[in-house]
Amino acid sequence: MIFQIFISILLGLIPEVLFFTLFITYTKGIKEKRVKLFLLISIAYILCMFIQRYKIFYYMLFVILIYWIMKFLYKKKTQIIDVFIISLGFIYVTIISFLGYIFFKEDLSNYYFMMFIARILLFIPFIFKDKFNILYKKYYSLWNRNDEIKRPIKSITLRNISLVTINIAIFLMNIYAISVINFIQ
Amino acid sequence: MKKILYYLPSIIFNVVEILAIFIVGISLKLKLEIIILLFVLFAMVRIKLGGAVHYKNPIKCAFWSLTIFASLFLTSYAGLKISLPITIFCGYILTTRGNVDDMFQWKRESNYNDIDEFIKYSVTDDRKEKIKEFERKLKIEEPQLYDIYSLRFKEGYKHYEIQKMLDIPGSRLTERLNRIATSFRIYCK
Repeated sequence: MIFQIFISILLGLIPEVLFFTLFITYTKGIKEKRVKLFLLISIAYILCMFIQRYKIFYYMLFVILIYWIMKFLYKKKTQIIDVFIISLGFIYVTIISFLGYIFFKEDLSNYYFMMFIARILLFIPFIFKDKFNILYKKYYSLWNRNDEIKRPIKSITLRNISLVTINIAIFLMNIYAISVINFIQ
Repeated sequence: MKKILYYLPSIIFNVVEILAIFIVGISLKLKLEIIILLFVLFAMVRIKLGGAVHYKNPIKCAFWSLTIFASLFLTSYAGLKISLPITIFCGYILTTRGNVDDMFQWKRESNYNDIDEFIKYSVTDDRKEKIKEFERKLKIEEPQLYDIYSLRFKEGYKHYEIQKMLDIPGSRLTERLNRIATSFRIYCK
């Protein structure tokens, strides 16, 4: 039991919380209060992910809690589009977990090995960490309507695409959560 | 009677759009109550918050309405506990309440940045005099254009805010702003 908790923290909590902290700070170009952000996200993770795994409601709650934590720490620097940034990070974590899940053997002999590989894959995008803030600023600048100049994409189209992406991700995560629960049972 | 005939095409379009949304919901094997609940909730949020963003093109409007509702109906498979807050969030984002603040203090991209800067940074008397003379002439000769000039360049209102205040279509406002900008550049620069 203690060993399982230790592994959950080592291969579960620490890498995922670290991923979210780094992803948020690099995307928004934040340099202050990173340790506080890490600690508060860890608490949110324990509340939402440890207590009840594989329930979409708690995944959503986790995203909302991270947003509120950012609002608490960074005040006006946190904007509504950060919900989409956090969700994007969450979608990536889910994709990596799903890849690990499909390669699990039925007897779980490769469980720890797959978990370890998944944790490494989680940090691969940070090779391009310099691009995160550039893309974020572009996304941010296209969010509000501006009829005075011609743009590659309309503000309303960008919002629609963002919302549809989140909704489809929730639908697919729900399917993934149900199949993992069935697998565990 | 004339008013009804004027609005009839848009009423027919909206009815067809709503029917199409319901057909999408039914084809996803959802209960009618859930379809109605999500549809009404989405519409109520946008009405309540105000400033709903729309497409001018009816085909784009219909396409994106169907896509958004299809994706909302898919979230209902995860339960109403999930889909109801998501519907409220979608409604919120698709209004002007979902706008972001100018956090990075970028120069707002505009075709009239040169005029904004000319007015803002005019320190010499002859420049200020030229601007005043332009405003005086514009006020006498084209009072409606002067109102637009004043709202945009002196009070700093955004394009859609001026549209709403003066109740003119966006394309006409852009055309008038271009006329003002051309005159300003010729007269003052």
